Amino acid sequence: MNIIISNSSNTPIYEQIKEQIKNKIVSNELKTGELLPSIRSLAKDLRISVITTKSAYEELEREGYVETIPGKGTYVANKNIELIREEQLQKIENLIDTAVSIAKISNISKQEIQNIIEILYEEEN
Amino acid sequence: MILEVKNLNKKYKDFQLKNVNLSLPKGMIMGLIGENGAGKTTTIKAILNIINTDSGEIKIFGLDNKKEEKKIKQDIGVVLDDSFLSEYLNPMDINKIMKNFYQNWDEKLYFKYIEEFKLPKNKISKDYSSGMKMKLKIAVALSHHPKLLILDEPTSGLDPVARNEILDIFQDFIQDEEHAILVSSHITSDLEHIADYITFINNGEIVLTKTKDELLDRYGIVKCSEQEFKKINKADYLKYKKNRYEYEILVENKNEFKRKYDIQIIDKPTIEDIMLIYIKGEK
Amino acid sequence: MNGIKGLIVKDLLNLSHYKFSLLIIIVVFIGLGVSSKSSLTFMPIMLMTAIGMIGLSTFSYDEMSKADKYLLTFPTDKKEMVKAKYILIIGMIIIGAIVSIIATYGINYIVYSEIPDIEPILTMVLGGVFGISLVEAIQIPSVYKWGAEKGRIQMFVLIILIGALIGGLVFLITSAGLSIQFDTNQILGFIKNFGTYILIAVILLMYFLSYKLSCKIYMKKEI
Repeated sequence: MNIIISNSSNTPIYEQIKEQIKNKIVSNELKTGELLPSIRSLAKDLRISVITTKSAYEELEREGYVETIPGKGTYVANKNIELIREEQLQKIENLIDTAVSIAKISNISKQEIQNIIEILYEEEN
Repeated sequence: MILEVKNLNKKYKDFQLKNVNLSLPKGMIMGLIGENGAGKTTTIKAILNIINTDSGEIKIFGLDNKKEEKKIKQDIGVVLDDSFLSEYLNPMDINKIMKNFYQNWDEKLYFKYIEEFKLPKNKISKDYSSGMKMKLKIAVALSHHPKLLILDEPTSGLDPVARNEILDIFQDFIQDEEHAILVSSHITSDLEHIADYITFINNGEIVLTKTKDELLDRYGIVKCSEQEFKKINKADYLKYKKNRYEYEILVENKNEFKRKYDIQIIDKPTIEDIMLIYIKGEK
Repeated sequence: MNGIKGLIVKDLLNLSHYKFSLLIIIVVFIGLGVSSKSSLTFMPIMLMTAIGMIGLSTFSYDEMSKADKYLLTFPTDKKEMVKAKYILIIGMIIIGAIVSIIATYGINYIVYSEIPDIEPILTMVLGGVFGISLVEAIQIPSVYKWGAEKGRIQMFVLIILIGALIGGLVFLITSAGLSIQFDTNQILGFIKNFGTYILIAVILLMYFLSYKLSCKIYMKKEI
């Protein structure tokens, strides 16, 4: 498992870790029931403080992505795929909402926005 | 709490520790930072009951550091920057000495460290490099299975490679969540990576003691012009420093500050930035 | 598990650097004792001084590495540290005394093939122990107070002072017309008359007072 953190980024390190683990869970790279590295060994391997990895795991737990069994470790939770999908959709909607409002202010047509999205999709492939 | 210092006071002719408070939970690393002469070593000496204090209470493992001194010290490993047994002893000699002091002295572990750190067993430490000397001190400090490590300036005078190795040792030690480390340093970049808590001492007083993430993620350094600076409410910043071309302002919560003021440049601070503004800045 | 033992082991290992110089000193002094019978009478005192004073040099080792501060992070305390030093120093003096007795006796027996009277040797050595103890009992607290470096200078001053005092006394007595021969037998006689037991008691009392003073000084000292 790769986790890449940047010390100079404005995003807090715990958030970087959280996002990367989350992405791996969503993309099924980390499967349900899989054991995550312990807070302390992850801190050591990433050369960061224990509190930082702890915060990342706590946030992941709060959002339901992982589950901590005291004395055993932290596991990828059995998360409802539908729920994750819904969350992601909600995120996309929010982002598009911002895009649309900027478009409306600047008089950019719906067609132009759709073109942009299509170009971006093509690029991805 | 593995270590708790409450209202510690100690007056010297030309220097004074004023109401020092700090607490270190188990499983954590606390970095004690400050300039040379700010009171780091004096604080550590008071914790270890090496000096007499004027007032205050110090508890280690929940026990009074004076009344239960010998019991407590069985479980503490200490590294001091400028002080050691003798330069004329080799690791073999040191083993013979140390096993008398500690009930839990682990000869096997000690020689494992000596080997791991590549220290010549039969050479007196006078002939060691400064990195090797420090590693020898750390090996000695770790070999009686201490629960608390207290280190005064363990990385000063070492090259980056040796410093890095020492940080590794600390992180290995802290894998056991019953352990804790108090480490003083004026090289803040070392602590920036691994410390959970940062306690900043200036002029004998604790200026701040917080989790490192809180400092790095919430604090910000605003850079602005004089006109902009004049519009800022005094209550909204901690300290400021007037430079030749700009004002540098330390704020406690950069997001809140962003919401309130229309100032573009807010940098993520380093521990050193925070330290410098506190020492050099004004309010 | 025993702080005092650890402290003494530390000092002995530090001193082990002296083993060759010490061996040379012993050989030279014994050689001196063998060379003439008159020097044999002074040899034990010199030998004892050489061995007995070595204990003091452990203070310099400690100072060089600022060891006191470090030792106090161990499960020990200032009192134990003072105690360990006295045990070491007194121990070294006793070793010096024993070596001197054996050397004197041995040389007499081997070189001069005579079985010497043990009593004058013992009295002589006891006198030596008294002299060294007097210097060290003053010296140890002053090292605690002012440090080993200043203490060393002070030791020379002390020895010169005692020497000058005795010299002056002798000069006064001789110039007063009382002819005095610097005869060892006279000194031995003096010690004998003084009473061996009283002398031993005085030595012990000196160390006791010195120890108490050292503790008091060291407890107050900021390290």
